[in-house]
Amino acid sequence: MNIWMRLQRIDRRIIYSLLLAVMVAGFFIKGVGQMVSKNTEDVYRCVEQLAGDNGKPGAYEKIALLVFDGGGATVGENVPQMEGVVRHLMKRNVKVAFMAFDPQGKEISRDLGERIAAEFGKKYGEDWVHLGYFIATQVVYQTLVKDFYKVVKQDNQGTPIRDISMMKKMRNIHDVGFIFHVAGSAMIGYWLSFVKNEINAPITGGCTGVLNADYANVYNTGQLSGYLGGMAGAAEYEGLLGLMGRATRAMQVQNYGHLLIMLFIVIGNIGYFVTRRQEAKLRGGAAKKGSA
Amino acid sequence: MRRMLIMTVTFAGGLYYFCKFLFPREWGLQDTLPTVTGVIIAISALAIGIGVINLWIHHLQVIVRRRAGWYNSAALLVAMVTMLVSVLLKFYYPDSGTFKAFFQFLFQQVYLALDKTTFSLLALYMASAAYRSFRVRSREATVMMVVSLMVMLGQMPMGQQLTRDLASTEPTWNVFWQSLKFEHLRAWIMDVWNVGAQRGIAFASMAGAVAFSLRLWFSLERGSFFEDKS
Repeated sequence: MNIWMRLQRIDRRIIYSLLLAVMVAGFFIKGVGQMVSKNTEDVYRCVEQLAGDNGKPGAYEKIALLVFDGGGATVGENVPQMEGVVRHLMKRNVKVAFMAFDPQGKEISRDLGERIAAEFGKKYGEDWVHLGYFIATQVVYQTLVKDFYKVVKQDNQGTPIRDISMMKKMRNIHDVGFIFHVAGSAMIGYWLSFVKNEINAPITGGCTGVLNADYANVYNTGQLSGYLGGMAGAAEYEGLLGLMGRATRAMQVQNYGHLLIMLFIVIGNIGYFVTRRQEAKLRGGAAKKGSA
Repeated sequence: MRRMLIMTVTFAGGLYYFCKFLFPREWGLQDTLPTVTGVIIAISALAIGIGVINLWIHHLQVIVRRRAGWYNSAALLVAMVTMLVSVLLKFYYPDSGTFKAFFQFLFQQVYLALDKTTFSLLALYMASAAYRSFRVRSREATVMMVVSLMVMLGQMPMGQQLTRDLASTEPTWNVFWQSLKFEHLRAWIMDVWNVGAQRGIAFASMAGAVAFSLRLWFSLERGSFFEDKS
């Protein structure tokens, strides 16, 4: 096997080892800033808009509804996305209600809420609440619109919802000023199909990198007011907040990982290209010999 | 008899949703939706229950007969029982710190960690798969590779830095150079080409879904009655 053939058949263990090495190195090398895409900027703008509207004299204070629909497999991307938005909302003193449409998401979002609320000194029940886990069926979305409290009867700890201070002021879904749904699936479609036309609040979301293409579709039509696409979206949001959080660090690691993958693709193709030319030459030579 | 029963239930289920969509709201079918959804959830729960029973029967047989890899079956059943017990203890003794900590440990430190690890392994696999499969074997493959590289470069900070300085003092040329920046190329590919393709795929798959749904509704789909699928 010549060198060009070898370039096409690099042992996968070498690829894995190099990828691991590059990823570890990524944590220690100082990175470069991430450009902010419009879809991320739009999520930021929606939060700012809500905070600004709530701050107007005599304004009816609206809350933000945050839905966590991811599990262990998607926490890497979904948690930094949610963290960024929650930090922004809490920093701007917007009251936050979490919901989970995934049993794992309930635990993850509750821990996340507790952690960030502690950072900002926010009190459970007054500044934030976790409404628990709901089975995400069409009926749940439709009933949330028709009668919010028919779906949400108690919080995550079993406290009747009307006994929770921040929820006393909330009359129905129209008192929600911002919806943010993070998921490892295209479940955002339910909000757009059953809720979007019934309320004025912007519906935004966060998705894993592979779903970027699906979300771009509904964002492009204006149905989705903004979205954070994968780890890059979370890093962009941190950039807007002026933070150097886990998404920004992870993005640097991804940076080097992607570069290495690109390098391997190029190397493999050089090997393939040269081998193909050599084979064509050999075939050409053999054909000439045959005709002679 | 079984065939008739399955056909009737399937047809009735489909007919309900069909009529709910077509008939006026005043006819009241819409109001029955929560009840019907409750029934569907109950059936799904039953299906999960049957799945769990099957799982137990299968893995217990593997353990009892000491078949190859029986220890994997044992690990599965032990993990299942441990997790179930931890959830029940947490549920029935909500004030107990020990039970809460036990559940948290299993969920955060074991279950989530394993889930993350499994998913992370995909990254390694994808790196290897991308290296092996992205070859310029045809024109289509070349286009695909170039587009993928552009999207990747537009997505990552280092790629964005490569074209950061593309600019001109001449306004017309400046627009041209700006449009060549990787992040703008990525946005163009994602917002124009990708969106167009996505919608095309969505239309086509929905048309397919309608045809498939009709076949299911009228029990025309092969395998509806557990018969020989060959």
